[in-house]
Amino acid sequence: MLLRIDPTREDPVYQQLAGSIRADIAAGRIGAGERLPSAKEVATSLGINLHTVLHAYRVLRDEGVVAMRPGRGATVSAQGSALADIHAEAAELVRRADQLGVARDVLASLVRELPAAPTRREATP
Amino acid sequence: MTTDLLAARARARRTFAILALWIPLGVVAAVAIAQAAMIPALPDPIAVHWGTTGEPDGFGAPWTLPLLTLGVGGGLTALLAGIALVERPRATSRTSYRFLGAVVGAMTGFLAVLMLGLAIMQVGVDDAATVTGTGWLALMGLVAAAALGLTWFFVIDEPPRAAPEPAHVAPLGLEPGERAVWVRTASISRAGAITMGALLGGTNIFLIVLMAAQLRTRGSIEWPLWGTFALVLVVTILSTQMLRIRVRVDRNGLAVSSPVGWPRVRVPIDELTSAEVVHVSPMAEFGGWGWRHGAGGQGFVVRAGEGIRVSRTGRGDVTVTVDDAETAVALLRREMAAR
Repeated sequence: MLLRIDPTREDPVYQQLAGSIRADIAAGRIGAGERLPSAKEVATSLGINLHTVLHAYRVLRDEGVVAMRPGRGATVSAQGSALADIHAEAAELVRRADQLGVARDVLASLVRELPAAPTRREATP
Repeated sequence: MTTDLLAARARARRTFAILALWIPLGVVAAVAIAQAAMIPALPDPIAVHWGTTGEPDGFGAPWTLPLLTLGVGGGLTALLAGIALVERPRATSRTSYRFLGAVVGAMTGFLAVLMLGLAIMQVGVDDAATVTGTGWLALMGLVAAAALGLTWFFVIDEPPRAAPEPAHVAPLGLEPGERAVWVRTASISRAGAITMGALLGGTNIFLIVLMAAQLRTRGSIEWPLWGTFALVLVVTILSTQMLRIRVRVDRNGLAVSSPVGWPRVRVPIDELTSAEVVHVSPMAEFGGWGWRHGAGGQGFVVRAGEGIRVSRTGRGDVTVTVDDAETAVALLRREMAAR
């Protein structure tokens, strides 16, 4: 997996890192059950604070994208690999939005404001 | 240019075929014919195996000698030379003619001296059980092996190969302030696992059986045997470290390590002179799987196919088989350009 961050950008580094990991999972570059590199390794490689990396991992854990267990580190959860399943549709949606001139932020808030679909079936594991 | 190169490769291939295939096969055939000619003068049965005490402990019909020579010598020669010769002629292939040729040469020398000597020693002997002194023969065989192996090593030339194809991989596009790390795990392929498992499992079982036999007949295990077993056990444990390797590329360079942390290699970004995506063929380039040292430097080889190869100043190349090598090389090239 390829993790990228830019400390000169305005958004917090932990968010960039979480976004980068999420993107890798969504693109299928890392699958369910696979282990993320240790927080220490990522911190050393990117030259950032260990707590920043742990913060990013916690964000992803709270989203249910990764599971964290003592001794096993952080692994991609089954829920996390669902990101890969909807990746193509998301890409298609963004393509349509770009075509129609709808900005990303507007699209994101549109997605956020949509009412939750009535759950007729169990979410696939 | 390319046609010249391919013609030169074809010449190198012909030389290799003569030295590493046809001459050894000729020697093997000559030894077998000589042995066959001696059959009327040999005792029946003849001794074919000697125990650790120097007394013969295995006997067979006289015709087993030429047959053994043909089977072992011919078979191994065809196998080893075949590895290099059946390969598709690609201009950038790194198959080591020298290495394979030297192994065939050494094996031919050893086998020829040993097999011919075994026959000559028994000419005119009535009872094969009285034939001793094969230790000297083995020693002479080793000397012949070293002499032929070294000669072949220096006589055989590596096939000329094209310079690696220039950068199809563009440096990774990162913003000036952006930092990136690429991490990936590579697991051993089925072919590698089977080969390594069969080889090591077979050797271990063979040694355990030998030790059990010795324990029963002598009541103790002699040190050469348990020493060998200890060594093989260490090799086995080390090999399990090669089932999974972790590869990391960041602004510090390339790092490859096994789960326990050894063996591992780090190539600092300052020492890098080039990074390429390569196609690795384990047998032909490295003689197998695992942590290998071959013609072009060291390799962490867990499967055939895609991999990263970096060259460093003043030291050998490092090759590692891993998926998504293109991204890794793109990042390495970006960091090399940025240093």
